[in-house]
Amino acid sequence: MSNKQDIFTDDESIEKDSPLLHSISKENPFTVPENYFESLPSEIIEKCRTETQPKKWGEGILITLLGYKWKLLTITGCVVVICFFAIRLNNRPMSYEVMAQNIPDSLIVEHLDNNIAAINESTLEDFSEGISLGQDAENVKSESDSTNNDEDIVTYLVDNNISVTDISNE
Amino acid sequence: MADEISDSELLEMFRLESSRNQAFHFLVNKYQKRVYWQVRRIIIDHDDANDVVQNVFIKVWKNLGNFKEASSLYTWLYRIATNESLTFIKQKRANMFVPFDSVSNSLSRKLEDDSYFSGDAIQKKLQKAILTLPDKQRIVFNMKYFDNIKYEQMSEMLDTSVGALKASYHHAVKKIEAFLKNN
Repeated sequence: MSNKQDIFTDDESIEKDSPLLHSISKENPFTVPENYFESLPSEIIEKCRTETQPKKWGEGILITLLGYKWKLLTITGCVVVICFFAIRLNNRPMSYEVMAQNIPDSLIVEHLDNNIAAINESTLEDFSEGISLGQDAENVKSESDSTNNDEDIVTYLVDNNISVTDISNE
Repeated sequence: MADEISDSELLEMFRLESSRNQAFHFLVNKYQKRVYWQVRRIIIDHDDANDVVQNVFIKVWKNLGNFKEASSLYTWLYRIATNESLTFIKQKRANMFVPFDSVSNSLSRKLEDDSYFSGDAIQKKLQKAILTLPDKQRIVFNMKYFDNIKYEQMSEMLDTSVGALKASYHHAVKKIEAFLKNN
């Protein structure tokens, strides 16, 4: 209860409680450069004019970015690390398998149709083998089952004298 | 001239496109000193205070058109000045990556080398004691002790109850007295 009364006492009683503080002059100890208040209004008005003018494209962004220099440094560091790993991943050679997947079936059929005279069945067999030879060692290993299937198909086509045109027409 | 114009006249002039610039000029002239000293007591350093004061008046320029006159113009200005000062200190704290204590120490050091401080040793000691207070307590103390602003007006400016302000001032005085005794 007494604490509460202490808190709500007026200024005079606080002055009595703190004689050291109230012995110090209340005069303003701070000063300003000469003619500061004479020039301040024009400085402020000039700044207001500049602020209200539309900013050049990118200027605002740059200022904001500079204001957050620490955050910017952290973000830049993260971006550099991400880019480093992204470039490393991108530099891996693209397998023939992936390239072949990007070619539409219709184009392959059209190509075979147009060049069927120049391609004999043994070339087709070589081509089928070539796909597996051109792949990375890892891919060859992992895709060995599918390569074997391709070879089987080619062997079957050759043994049974079936042309590619017949298949594409079907 | 600027001191003679009432706030309502200033606002009326500002609302008219033709007299807006002149009204703002009068407003800056009328309130610049009071705003500056309020900011300077919080920020301590003149150059920093100058930047904050300019930002305060830029905000005023941008927002005066929307001022609803729910409070007096000076109360509104004082509130902007206080908020801008606190924001400045917060930014400084964030940029320095240091806790509260170090900012107050850095301000104390500035006070030591400040060429725009003309007070005697005991006045410097008082300023150092004030710097040990938490930001809001420091503002309350400055407003009451140096500017002698009434608690009711302070309550409007700082959006805090009169009771809380009295308590805050009382605690500030006790802490300062203890600092002066022990240092």
